[in-house]
Amino acid sequence: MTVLLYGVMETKRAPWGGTGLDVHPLRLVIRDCIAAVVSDVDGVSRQQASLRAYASIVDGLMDAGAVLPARYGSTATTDTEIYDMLGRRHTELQANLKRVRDTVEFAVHASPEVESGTRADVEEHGPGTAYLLMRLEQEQRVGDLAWDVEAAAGEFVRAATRAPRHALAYLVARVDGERFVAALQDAGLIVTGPWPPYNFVGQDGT
Amino acid sequence: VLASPDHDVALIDLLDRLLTGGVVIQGDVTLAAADIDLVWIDVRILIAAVDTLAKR
Repeated sequence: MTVLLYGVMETKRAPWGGTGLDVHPLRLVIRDCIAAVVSDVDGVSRQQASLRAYASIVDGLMDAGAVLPARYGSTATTDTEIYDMLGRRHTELQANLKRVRDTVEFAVHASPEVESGTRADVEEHGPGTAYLLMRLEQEQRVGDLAWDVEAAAGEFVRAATRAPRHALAYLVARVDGERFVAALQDAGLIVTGPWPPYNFVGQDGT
Repeated sequence: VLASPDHDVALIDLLDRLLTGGVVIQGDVTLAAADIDLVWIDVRILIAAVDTLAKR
């Protein structure tokens, strides 16, 4: 049996009860004011259905209170390992829980029109130069995207960071979420969310 | 998902978050790269669709 971590929450907000993957009950590993939400699992499934179920459980945690979601597949062999992790990283976890309280994450992509033409330009050059040009264009595109977001909805942004696939991730107050999305869609940008703050858990400088 | 006009983009954003974001238990094992590749097999066609969309 393996212990799967779903997220870290403030103890006072962490839900008692609920069902995790493989129909195992959720339980809390509590250390002072911070609680890890975990369950036993039979193994870490690689099926999309399991990932969606995991995401749904974490969404439920976000509805209960501030949560630092865990990366899918974060496991321990015993609750003691989780308890030790909570102690080792208590200051960091507490600070990041405070930061994400009452916020949600959104992903923002440039509009398809803005992203056009990249590969056509790259194919005119050798592989080394083409790669560097591609990276330069990607950096410029992300920079332009950040400016567009700032111009359209900067007033709502609590924090921002890079996300995979040349997207940007934004932390926004929950109450501002709909206005943030509306402003960016009016500007022609593609937005997904609200997500739990997967890109604002603080381990990679975010 | 509240805001996505494109289901495929939302699915890829979800998988990105689950597999590359979030808290990791220090020193413990997460999904190996090979495992992540297996997860992604099901959505490669979706990634291709987004790439096509981006080139329009």
